[in-house]
Amino acid sequence: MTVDHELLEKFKTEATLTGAQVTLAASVEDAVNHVLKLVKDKDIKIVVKSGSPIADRLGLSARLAAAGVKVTETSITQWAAQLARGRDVPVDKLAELISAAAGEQVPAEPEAILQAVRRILKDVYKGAGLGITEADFGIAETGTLVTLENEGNARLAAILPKLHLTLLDGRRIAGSLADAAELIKGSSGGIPGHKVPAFITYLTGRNTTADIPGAIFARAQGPAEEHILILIA
Amino acid sequence: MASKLRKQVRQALADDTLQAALSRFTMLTKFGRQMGMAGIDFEALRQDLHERKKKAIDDLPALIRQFKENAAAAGAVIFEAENAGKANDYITRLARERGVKHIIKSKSMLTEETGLRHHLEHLCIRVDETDIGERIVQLAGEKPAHIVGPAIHKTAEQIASLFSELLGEQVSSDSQPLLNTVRESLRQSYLDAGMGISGANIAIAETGTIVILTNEGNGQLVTTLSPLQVAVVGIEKIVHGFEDVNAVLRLLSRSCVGTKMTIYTSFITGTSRAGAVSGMPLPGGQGPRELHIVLVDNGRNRMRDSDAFREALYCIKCGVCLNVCPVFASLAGQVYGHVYQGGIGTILTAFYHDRESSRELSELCLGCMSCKSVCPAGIDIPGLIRQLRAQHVQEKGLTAGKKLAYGMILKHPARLERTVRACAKLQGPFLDADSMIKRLPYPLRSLTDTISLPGLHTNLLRDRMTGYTSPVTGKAPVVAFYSGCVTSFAYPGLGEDVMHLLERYEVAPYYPQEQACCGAPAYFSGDSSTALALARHNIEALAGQEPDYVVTVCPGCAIMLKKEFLSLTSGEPALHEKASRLSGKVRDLSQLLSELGQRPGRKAAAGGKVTYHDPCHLKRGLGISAEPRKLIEEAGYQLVEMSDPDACCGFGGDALLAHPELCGSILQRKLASIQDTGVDTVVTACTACVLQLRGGLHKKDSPIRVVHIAELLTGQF
Repeated sequence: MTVDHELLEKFKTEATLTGAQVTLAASVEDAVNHVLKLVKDKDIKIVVKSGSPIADRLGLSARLAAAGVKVTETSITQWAAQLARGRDVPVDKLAELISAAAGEQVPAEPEAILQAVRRILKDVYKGAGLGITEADFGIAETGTLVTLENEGNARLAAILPKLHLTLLDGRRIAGSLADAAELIKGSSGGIPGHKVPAFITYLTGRNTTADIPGAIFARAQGPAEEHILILIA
Repeated sequence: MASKLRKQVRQALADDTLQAALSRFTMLTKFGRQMGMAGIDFEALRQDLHERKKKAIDDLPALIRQFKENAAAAGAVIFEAENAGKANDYITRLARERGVKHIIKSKSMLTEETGLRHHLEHLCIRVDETDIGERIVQLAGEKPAHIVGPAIHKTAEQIASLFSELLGEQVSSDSQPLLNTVRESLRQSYLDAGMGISGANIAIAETGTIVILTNEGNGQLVTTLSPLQVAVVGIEKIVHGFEDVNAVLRLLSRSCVGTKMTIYTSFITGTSRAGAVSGMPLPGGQGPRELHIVLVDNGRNRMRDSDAFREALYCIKCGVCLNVCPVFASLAGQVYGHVYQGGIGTILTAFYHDRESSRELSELCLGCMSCKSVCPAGIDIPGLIRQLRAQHVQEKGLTAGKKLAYGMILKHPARLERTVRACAKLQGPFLDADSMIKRLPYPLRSLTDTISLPGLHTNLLRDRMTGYTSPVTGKAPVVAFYSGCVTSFAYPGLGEDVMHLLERYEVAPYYPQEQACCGAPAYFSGDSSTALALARHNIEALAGQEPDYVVTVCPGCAIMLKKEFLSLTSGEPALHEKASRLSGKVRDLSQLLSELGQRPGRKAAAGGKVTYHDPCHLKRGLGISAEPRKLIEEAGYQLVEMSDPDACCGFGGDALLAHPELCGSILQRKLASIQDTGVDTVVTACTACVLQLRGGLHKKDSPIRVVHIAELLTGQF
């Protein structure tokens, strides 16, 4: 797959019109520098992120950590791996680590662990200055970002922190809503019974409200700013 | 005795805060619509959406089955509720079984319809609305003012005081701090609540998916954070697949707020899943672990079973019909009493709530067709309102006054004429120097509250047309002039102008002496029997001399002759055939003159600046707006456009009698935009608009002249 520059340009124009701040990065290093500059400019100390092949390719977590930013993974699998410092730990040991993080005794059972992690992560999202997620593709016609997932963590990382940054592969831009629908139909999400992933989110611009008199105000209930970083390398 | 609705209408009109909020709202939405419609082929997109919604409603039983299967396979629990009570009971039972004490909720008109929140609150379960507008009306203990903007009628001070009371601290009414307070006060609710309740804008049968749209982001938070989720979904929201969803997305936000897309469009299919930890699979993800979808009928199948009203189910609840409605712009939505506002709300109220109150509500509609012209689903809202009135008349009969006016007088052309002549003799003491009636005594006083009425003539148009009983032979085309009641009785001179003008254009005009009222007042009040009798009479009267064209000066009459006679006669094939021949011949005067092209004998430029008012029935009913403008300019006048030239003048059927104050407020907005142009002449192409505008300006002693285009053009020769 190659970059379709016409679609890319259209996407950038439309997304910018919706109030997002769009940056193109021609190289991995440019992309990393952009994120580092963003956290520095906005004085961000805590970042949450969902699973992202682009972030992995950029080595983003390590680079942010090196810059003194605390990065928390939000998919439960990755969060647990992070908690165990990447080691393979048995369930008992993991439950102990989770108990310590939760400040209460969590039994080594799936239900108890799930409930505890959901509770812990809520606070993590809320306290984060920046959420980093990756969109599966963009839609040029409307400047929309499309994210597919089954867990729900990407949705939360995109809406609860103060700022949101979406990473997007410049080669993955659909022309229209119709093209997007075709792409979605081809991705079952891998859950038995689901013909599509549990969550598909179309994000178009910055959240707003017109319910407070005076004007249309940004930052209704989601992040104050929407940033999009498109990697075209 | 004034009805409750009449009182509410008066209150709304007298509420300066509300009026100020409404005028801001109207400006904002007008601008939004211009933005939203830029660069798209609206007619093509709405045709597409109309067809897709039609197909979905036609296939509804199969779609419901398919949706249930796919949603269940993805882990959702489906409950079908035939009415509001059963939906509420199911959700309440679920909340109690799970020990839920606190619920967060995103905006859903359907849950307003079922009264779910109150039902839960009665059982001491705390429910926090999360859409900011909905939260505001919740705290105020009011109903939403608008489908999309529930709190458009509230000022910042009112909102700040509601939150001050809620939080027990002084809240700033400056917009930004106020918004921050509202946001933070909701944040903790999301995290604490034990259940999330949402509606759905669309549901997809092929995948068992529900689609939820919010601009604020509250939909994301409500549908994700709580492990126990309920989605309350009207069965009419189900469509086949993703292409149908796209058809909705292409027009929904463009129509209501003017953006290309709603900011968050969320597709939710079943429950959430996470991976494994330490080789141990987890029983769920971070979103819903239980998703209950309550499919609600509550009158929708009954609506589907009705051929006449089925298309109301195509509504995607974008609210644009309210944004353009002159009645809404004067009153906001609370007067509609139940949940759904405006014209579409009146129809939905009749099926979902309270048939009786829908009768009274239907009188609020002026039939201006603004809603019809912008509806992204192509719903003929004024047509449905008329059918609703007709049903009410069938069920309950006409009111005594209308029975007299339509059945005893209007239906019988000779009697109508005698009545007019009698009134013309009695009116003397009330006429002023301009032959206008500025004030009538009780009980007719309300007729002259906002306009002066024109004096009636004893020398009616028919009396003056005895020289025109048949067309001159050898000339073509032959043009029959259908004058309509306003011209015949109040402006016979205008009728004479039309004949002279047609002669100038060298056609063969004549005046069919047997013509009668077109029946519009009766028809739009739901009196189909009077309307049919008059259709029959006119179809015969206008066929006699086999004209090539039938020309009108009142687009309301033109629509009756051209369109409504066809539907009225559908049960009588022979008459219907004649109606359809008549339909093809009907032309509005400016349309006919444009088709004939320029004729010789015209004076040089007459000069002067004028402005032009688009009659509702001419522009939106017959699609004619360029022709009169072109004729005005060709006649040598300089056209100065007013703002919203196609806004209704407030002359609208039943509402004129039922709610004269309302029509008056719509008229005043029109007069203000005329006055703002600074010109001394307003031209229009409808005799009813002439009556209203002339009457309104005379009442205010304004020197601005109102002329029908026939009068203006006659002046050029």
